[in-house]
Amino acid sequence: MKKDWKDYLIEKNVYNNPVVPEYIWQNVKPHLPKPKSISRYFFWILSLLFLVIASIGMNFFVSTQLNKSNLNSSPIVNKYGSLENKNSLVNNSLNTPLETPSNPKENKLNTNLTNKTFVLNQNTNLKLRNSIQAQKNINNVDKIISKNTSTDIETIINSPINSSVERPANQKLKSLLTTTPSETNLLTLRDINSLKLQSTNPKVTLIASDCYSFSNKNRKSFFAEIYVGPMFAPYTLKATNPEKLALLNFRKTSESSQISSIAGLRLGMQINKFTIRTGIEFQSIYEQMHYNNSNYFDVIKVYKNDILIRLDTIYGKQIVKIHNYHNLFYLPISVGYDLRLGTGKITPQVGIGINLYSWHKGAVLDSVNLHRIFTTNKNTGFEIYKTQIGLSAFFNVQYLLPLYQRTNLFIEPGIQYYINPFNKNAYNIDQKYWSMNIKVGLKYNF
Amino acid sequence: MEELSLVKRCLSGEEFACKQLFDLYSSPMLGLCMRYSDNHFEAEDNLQEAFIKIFQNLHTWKSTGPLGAWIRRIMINTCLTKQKTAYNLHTVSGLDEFHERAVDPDILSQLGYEEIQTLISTMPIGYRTAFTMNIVEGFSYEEMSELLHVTESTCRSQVFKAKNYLAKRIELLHPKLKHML
Repeated sequence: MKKDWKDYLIEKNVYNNPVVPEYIWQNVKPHLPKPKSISRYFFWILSLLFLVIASIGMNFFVSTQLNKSNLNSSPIVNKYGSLENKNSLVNNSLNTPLETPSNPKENKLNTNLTNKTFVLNQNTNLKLRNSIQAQKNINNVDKIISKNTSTDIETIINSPINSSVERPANQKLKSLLTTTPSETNLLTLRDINSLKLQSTNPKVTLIASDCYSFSNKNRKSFFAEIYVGPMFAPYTLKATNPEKLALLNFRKTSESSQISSIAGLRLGMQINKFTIRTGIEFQSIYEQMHYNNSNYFDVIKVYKNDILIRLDTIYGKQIVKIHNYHNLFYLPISVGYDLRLGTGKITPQVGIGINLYSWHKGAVLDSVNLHRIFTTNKNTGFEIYKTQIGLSAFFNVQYLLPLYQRTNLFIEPGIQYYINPFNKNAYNIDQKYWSMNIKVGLKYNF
Repeated sequence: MEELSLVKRCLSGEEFACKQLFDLYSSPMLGLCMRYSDNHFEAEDNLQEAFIKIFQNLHTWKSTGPLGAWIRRIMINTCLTKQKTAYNLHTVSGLDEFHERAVDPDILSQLGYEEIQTLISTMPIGYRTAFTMNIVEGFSYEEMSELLHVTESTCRSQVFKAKNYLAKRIELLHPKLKHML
């Protein structure tokens, strides 16, 4: 077949390879890709994540230990043999012997005396502030309260609250990439041509104008995010029954919100500048219940040969500190819009959270000013909180920094409002929450 | 796979690998730049600028397509965006009035590379761009219209005009061969 004249041109023109001057390579050399020391950044990020996860774990561990020491709902009544408890806190200097059914000792006290002794279980949270005033005159003993000589309880009570999450990592991570305005790590030709190049000739600054990109305009990409962060979740109490106002006051004066924690895993899809995210999120709202009972008393039954010989009543001041937790599993669904900010990106997001399951641990005061345990599935008869909280609405603003090829670091402050109160309707005091949180995490683009 | 390993070595900072990449594509790309540029110096300038862009954004290349095509596309876009003047493309109502001049392939076979290069480089910029993109690079009229931001019919007309212009220039260049046309 006879060739077209254009084919001749192509043959003679296209396949001719001219010699490239050496100076071009010398000018290109300074712009070659440089080896990036990623391991250092990954090490710090992994260390940070490890510390955060470890602190959350410690938080749970401590709370578990503390909740074991929470008081029972009923006043303490020492049972048979409890007077020989090695954790008994009777002041030995009083020289007051303890009588047990198995080892009866000579009662040095005058039977006319009202000998009052006080024995504490070491695992309780009680701490006695009033010192014991023992009267050597055994004919005039009224109150005997032994001072706790054990340091364990003091250590437990005075131990600081474990903040579950460290502060966000150093936000001043330098971008490892050059000024690359990539939205999805796929640099289109439009992006390439919008780059500002620095020529070797300082007088010349080469600026490429925008150029059409043949890539698909409706770009979709997927990504995954993992994050942790601190949270603060204050709440309001409102009595739905006027008769509960006294209880409302009890609770308001005894409870306080503390720094909580949030963690989660999200998957998302990016369509141009819009993002859709969903995943699973865990929130642990931490509070403290702290109150003093100056009129605390306890009755101890003393047995001898299986015969009740006397009742000892002790009076004192009871100081209670209980750690309450509201743990929630959420399904967050959000929509965001990307805005370019330097080498990073800001994405405001709005969304809703669907509570999958909630469980609660701790105690609150009841109407007679005694604390009662409301832990889920403990069958205490006082489970006042729901296991399905319902919906919540949230607003986050994510600031994204490129880190490596497909990996980005982000920090995301946000607020969340829980639409329904946490308590059951029958409780008559509505406990409504809202929260502020800061999430720090990593985003990986697929 | 070889391209992928070469790119990975470049991204890890290996200068020798980058030199290999440069040597592999610089010569044909310089030929491409010369077809889009007014002169040799502008072509070298475009080549340098394009390779800087290539190395700075090498990490964005996905191994789904050939590396050469990716480099070629960057090179063409760089050359086109460097052209400061308009492409001198004029719209026409219809293409019937244009009759493509035919050139005897025997005449073309007698022309050397430098003569053909001179012919193309001395064409008006609009003709040269349209001719190079369609005839030499193989862009369709639709792709040309999107790249040059003009209508498809404009691209068709420019290509026609370019061919006729070139044919006429060949006639003038080789008057001895005129009788053969």
